Amino acid sequence: MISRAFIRYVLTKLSFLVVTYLVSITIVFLLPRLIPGNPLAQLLTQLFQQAQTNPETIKEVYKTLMAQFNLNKPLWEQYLDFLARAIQGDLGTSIAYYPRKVIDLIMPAIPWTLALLVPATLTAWFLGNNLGAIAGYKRNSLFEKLVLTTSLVISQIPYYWLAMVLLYVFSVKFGIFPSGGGYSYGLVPSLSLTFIVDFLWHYTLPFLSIVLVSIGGWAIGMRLLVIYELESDYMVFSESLGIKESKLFNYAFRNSLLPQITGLALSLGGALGGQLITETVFNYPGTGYVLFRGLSTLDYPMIQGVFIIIVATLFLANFLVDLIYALIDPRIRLGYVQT
Amino acid sequence: MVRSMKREKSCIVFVLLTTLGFLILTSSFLSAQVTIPREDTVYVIGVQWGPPTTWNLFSPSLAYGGDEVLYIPLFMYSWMKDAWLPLIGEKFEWVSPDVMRIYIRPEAKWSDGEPITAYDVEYTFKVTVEVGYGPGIGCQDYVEYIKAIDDKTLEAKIKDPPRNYFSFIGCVLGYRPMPKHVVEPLYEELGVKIKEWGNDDPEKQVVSGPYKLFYSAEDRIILERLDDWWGKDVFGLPAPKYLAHIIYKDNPSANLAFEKGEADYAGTFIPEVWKLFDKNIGTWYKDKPYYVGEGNIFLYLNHLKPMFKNVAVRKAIAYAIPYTEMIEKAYFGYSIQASLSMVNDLSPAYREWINRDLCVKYWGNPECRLPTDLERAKEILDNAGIIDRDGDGIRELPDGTKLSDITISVPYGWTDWMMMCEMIAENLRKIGIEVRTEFPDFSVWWNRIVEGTFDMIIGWDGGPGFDHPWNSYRWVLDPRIVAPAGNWERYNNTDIIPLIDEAASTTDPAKRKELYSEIQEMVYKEVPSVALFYGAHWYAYNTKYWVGWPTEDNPWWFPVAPWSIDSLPLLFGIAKAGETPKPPEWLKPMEEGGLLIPTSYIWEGLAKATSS
Repeated sequence: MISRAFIRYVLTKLSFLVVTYLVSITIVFLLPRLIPGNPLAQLLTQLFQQAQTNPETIKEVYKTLMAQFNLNKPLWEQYLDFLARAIQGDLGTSIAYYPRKVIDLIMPAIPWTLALLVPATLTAWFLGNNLGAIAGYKRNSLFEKLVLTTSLVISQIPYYWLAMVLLYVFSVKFGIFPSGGGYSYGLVPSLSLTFIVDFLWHYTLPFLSIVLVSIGGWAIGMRLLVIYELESDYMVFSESLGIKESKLFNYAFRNSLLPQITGLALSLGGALGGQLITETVFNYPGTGYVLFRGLSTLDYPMIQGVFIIIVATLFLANFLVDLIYALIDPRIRLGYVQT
Repeated sequence: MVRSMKREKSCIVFVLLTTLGFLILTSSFLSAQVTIPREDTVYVIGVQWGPPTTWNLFSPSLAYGGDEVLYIPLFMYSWMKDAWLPLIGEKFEWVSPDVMRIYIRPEAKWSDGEPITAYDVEYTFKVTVEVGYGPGIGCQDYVEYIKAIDDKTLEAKIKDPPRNYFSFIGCVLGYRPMPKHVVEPLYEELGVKIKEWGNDDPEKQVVSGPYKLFYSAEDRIILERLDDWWGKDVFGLPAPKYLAHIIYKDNPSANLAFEKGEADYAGTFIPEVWKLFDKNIGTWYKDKPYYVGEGNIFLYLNHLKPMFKNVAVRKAIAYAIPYTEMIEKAYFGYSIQASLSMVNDLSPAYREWINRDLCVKYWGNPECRLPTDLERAKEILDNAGIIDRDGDGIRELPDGTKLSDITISVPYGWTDWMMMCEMIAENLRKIGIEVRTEFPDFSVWWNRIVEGTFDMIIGWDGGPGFDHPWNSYRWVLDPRIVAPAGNWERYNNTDIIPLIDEAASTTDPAKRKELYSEIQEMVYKEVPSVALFYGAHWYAYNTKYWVGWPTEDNPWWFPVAPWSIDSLPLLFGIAKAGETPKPPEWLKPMEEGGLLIPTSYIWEGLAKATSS
């Protein structure tokens, strides 16, 4: 299995990945700087609010900050400085939230986003696949028609609209769930039962809003794949041999799963981008909101930092999917050996 | 269960377990469980919209509490009462027209027990100047020196030129010291990098005020009261044991929490706030305008653009603005029209600075509040030869420049101001000036101010202070100032410079009034920019858990937002729901037995020192 051709394949893919990564990082560096906006706007206007509005203060601060963030240096110098630091793992200091380091702002948000999106995506994937597979297997039954139409409708619902509806119905009107936050405001995070229960209580609505909308998409895809699989020669042959229903279903399900695994891996890889609007609606402390804030305040280091991480995880997920494919699908493995 | 589903299930369980493991590793879940009791906490909204930054006054980005309740000043100014509250400072005196002495309270101590001394002030200022940011940044242009005479005596000398008393007094009296014994070792070690010091470790924080940091996370800041605060014998203790600020994502979610009683003290823009009055919510006024206006909000006309160099155009625009209508419709009636004199006459202390005769002479009413008069606007333009020559409905200047393709812009998302732009643009189109609205992102809009590429914007000035209205005149009219530090409209009239400078260096209030009148006359002749309304200072409260908030019926302190640097005294007079609130005795003026020192005391002392 681990032949020279395979290793060559992996290495080519890796070098490709590194080059693509560098190109995307350069784009991430350039684009925000092309916007005709001033990254110091946020900081300076905060000063106004703190009643520091005498002209001398503003003038001094402006000078200090321009020098602090190298904003008065030419673009190529800023780029090299940025690259040099990024290689060492220093993602820089945020401008809008000075003097917080970018990595300190992103890191605490990552567990929250992962905790929300990974289980939600997996649950939706698991439930959606099973629903879709059963629907595909039981073609032309009432069950299949129900699943198809409901999935089509629900998968088109904007997830943020559903989020707001859930919030309104269950929090504002019925008061069953809290109106937002990752955990109750009076609590401090700990491994106690009270905290975990409270965390789950706050977790339910955002979780549901993502799962409900995503199930539809997976179900539709799986149904189609299973239907296609059922048409293949070996399935028809097995059926004619009189093999048990459950075993036939098993064959169809397993072989239809491949594209769904790719889809899952890509979904998970993009998870770190966060679900921006869900997080805003539920005041959930995740990475989507960190990115949004960076973009709206034109905080160059923050934008760069978040994208570096997102692009890296996405590429990694992509790369791993390629590998996994080669590992689980013998046809692809054979393909490498032949080339 | 089918075999594939079993494998799938174990796969999922595996992924979930690894995620959970990762979560536990990357989060700080291991602290002991702590809760803060709701009825002992005042929840605040509107100060922060992003994660907490730092409580270090040498950093330009302070988190909630830094300069509100943790680090307090020598004296705190109240613009509604035009008086100073002696906090760390006890009293001051002019030893000469150039030199002021300030006496620090003998009982003033840092939270670690060390006494607050004049050396703390001296050192803080030294670090500020060397580092480029900190308490008193920019003051070095007005203050010759601030030095410690002994532990509890501070001496400051005014710098001459420019001999600017306003800035000197503001800089010196309002100074917020940092603890020298904490900052000095850090500064020796970090140098300029002290700007990045977080000062966010509750164990190590050393403060001068009655609160310090208890806990902070990405979405909340909790401060706790120091029950052994040095000021308790003089001021008592503030009522809330905890101050908590939940950091909401945006205005609507913060306001929702306020409505539900999850927040008590709000500094946010609340649309249609009167609809919440039956939910325990209140504002300063029971009726319009609900809020007290603060700084002037202007329509800034960019003098670098040819059409705004023409006085008739500026005057016509001033008459065409729908002042009352836009405050009613766009601003929910939350303010009143501003006086063109740029003086905020809501505070009785400032009313005397408006020259009423000039107002009547130029604008027909004693407060200089222009009526919206489209006919008058058209007349002014006609008389100046700015007419529509080619019949397309748009006027041209005598030299042929069309008054078209002019933009009025405010940042996208500032819905109240956006609506005002639309209303102003509509009226201007009615008088033959073609204006369209533009709403770029905030940082883009800000950049246009810095570079001077905008046409018309709605913007602010310095806000009231004890140097009002001088600070407004300086901010708006002084040609020596470079944007964004002021003079956004690039007004270039050098005649105003001697007036502004002398108003700051005279010790005679009568002479100052004369100078203000001259400045006002210049403003009425030239109309460099148009004062629209007073920016409402967002102050609202919820009485579900805390009562005794100051209102117009109970004005023991002025309506101050939680992000205002003078919000501290408010915490002393509120009480838990069910208890009887009692405004602190010391919050009254000196002649009524309290501690408040009126500003007139400063000028009288200066006059005495000058004549002797």
